[in-house]
Amino acid sequence: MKKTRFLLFSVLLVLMGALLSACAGGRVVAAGAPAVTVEGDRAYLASGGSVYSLDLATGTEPTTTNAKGEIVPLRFPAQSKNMAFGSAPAAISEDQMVIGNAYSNDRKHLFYSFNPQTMAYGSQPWPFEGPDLWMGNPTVLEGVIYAPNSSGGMYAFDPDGTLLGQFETGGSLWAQPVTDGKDLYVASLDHHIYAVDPADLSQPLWDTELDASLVSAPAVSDGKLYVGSINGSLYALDASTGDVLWKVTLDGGIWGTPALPAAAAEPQAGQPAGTAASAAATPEPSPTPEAPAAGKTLYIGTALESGAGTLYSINTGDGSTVWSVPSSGAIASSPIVHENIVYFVTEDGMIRAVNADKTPAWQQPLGGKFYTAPMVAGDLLLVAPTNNNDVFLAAYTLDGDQKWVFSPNKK
Amino acid sequence: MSIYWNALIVDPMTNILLSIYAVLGNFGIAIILFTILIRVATSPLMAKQIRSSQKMQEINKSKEWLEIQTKYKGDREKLSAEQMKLYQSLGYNPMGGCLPTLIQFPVIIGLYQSITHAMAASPMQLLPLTNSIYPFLSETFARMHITFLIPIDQYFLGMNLGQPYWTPLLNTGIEIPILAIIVGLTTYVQSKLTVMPSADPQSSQMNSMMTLYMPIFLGYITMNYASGLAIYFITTNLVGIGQYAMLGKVNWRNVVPFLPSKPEIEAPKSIVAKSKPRTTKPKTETSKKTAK
Repeated sequence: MKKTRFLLFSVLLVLMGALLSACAGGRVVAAGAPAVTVEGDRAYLASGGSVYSLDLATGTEPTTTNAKGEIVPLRFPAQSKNMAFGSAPAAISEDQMVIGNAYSNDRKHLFYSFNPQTMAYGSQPWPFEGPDLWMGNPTVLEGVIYAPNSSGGMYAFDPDGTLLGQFETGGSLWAQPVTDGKDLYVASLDHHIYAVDPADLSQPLWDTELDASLVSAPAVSDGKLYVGSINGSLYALDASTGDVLWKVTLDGGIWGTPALPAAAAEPQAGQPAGTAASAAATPEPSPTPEAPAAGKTLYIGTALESGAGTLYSINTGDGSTVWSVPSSGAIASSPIVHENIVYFVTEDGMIRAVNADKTPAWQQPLGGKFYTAPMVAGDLLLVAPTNNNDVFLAAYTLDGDQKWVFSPNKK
Repeated sequence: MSIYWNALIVDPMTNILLSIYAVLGNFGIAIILFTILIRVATSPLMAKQIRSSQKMQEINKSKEWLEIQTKYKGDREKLSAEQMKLYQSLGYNPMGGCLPTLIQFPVIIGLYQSITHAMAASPMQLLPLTNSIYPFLSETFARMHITFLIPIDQYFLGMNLGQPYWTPLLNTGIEIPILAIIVGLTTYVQSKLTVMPSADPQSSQMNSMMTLYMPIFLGYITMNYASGLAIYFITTNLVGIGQYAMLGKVNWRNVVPFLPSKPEIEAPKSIVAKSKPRTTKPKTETSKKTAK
């Protein structure tokens, strides 16, 4: 009887633990969506507590033989450290990548440097301990890493991890800082967008207050910034002064970065070759007659309260809507435009492609939920769902045929 | 299932919590007030549960029950049947104590969920939070609109409520989970103060286990989860002690042994005499009889 009671009590405790953990919704553990960086012929997927190195052609991981003689995949870190990542790794050079953690069992928010060829530590974690989560992707400009932190600070490091300076804002930074090759632009949850001179992080060149929190990075093009707020306001700003050129209110909140046709987008100086930004900057063929001219249109998705979404095509000159396409799921990440096709993913697990003239190109269900922007890498479209144990990363041809899926749970 | 759970429990609570925050502008105080509010709202259930426990305690100590136990010592089936008969004769419903607990449980889980829901740490968590704000609230109460509400200031007394909180121990370089320790202590004190002495050795053993393990369990949870939850646990423990104290059910001697003692286990007496007059004799006479 005593044993039964003890057993019942233990089961009750475990049940409570499970309930409380489930209720926390991963508040501390793995709070972020998966994030991807493409470098050369490999995709680096940060998901949960690992960075996976995947061959773009096959979706397979490189392997090595461990001390016990077992064949094991090359991952970073090699041994699970009970931590979770919330942002993508940034490539500094061919043999160095850096990534900050969103959660660690020891409550330390550290940056790690590793070799993408061997997936081994380049060194120990950098000594600088972030005050809060590293949720936004870092940007590399002229060899300096600019990392946004949830505390509201943007920290600059050299490749050895030496802290060079910091720029403070009043709200969490979840968006990747972007650059026109000269200045940095930082979008904050404090409703402000800041322009910062990389040589002097002590004060902004300008800052402009917008109507609501900014969770995604601005797009930079032709001396203008385009950025959306979670209240659904889309802004065009003068990149040199921060003046608002126009503002339109869309139906639903904006959770991604506007996509611009490649000819309109500034090359993201400092970004490693092959990343999403540089992939989008590859030369585009001439637009078809019905497609809008490059630089005249941007594409942005919204998330409605109902759980649905809308993809908008917006005239960059005055913010007027060219067309809009409804979506059954919320668009909670950035779309991408490549060769006059707009690719976007939705919270209800759909991958969709729409021609620049609004006609549907193709769509595929994958399952899970999408909070990570799709990425074009060569002739592949990469998508990384959340809450899908069977697919961590999937590659599709640009015509919508699935080429491979990767899941560490599958042998 | 989770859609209904969220719609019925988590979303209403999240909206109340955010409304309090929108008025006060301090998330820590909002958690404290919200917890007090929910505890006060569920206090009738708690009072019912306490009364039921007390009644059960009286029955367990009664002469009738002790006689039944002695008489049917070797026959568990008969013992159970007689126990139920005794309950019936006294008008006691053994489920009466469970039901209030069962009703409180989803409320407590919902309260916990709404707090974690409100402390979104990534776009993936903020999107469902913004979608769960009631449109009628954001339309009628400007401060509940996301343009005012987001970002939520998660700092309280120097702590980031979205992160576990450990504090340095002087200049030793060692960090201690101070909130987890306070949660453990308040949980222990609450259990000790509010536990009803039981004549049943098995119930007594269960109580002892709960008193020991719950503080460890909740302390462990607090060490690794957002400190906003620790604020909730501490508040709910202190409010619980206050509620028991107001009902006169706190046994201070369990945690302060040098306090003057009062007899805890009274000599067995008949409780049938107490309950029978309810239907057969006027109340005044009953009270005279029991006072004797």
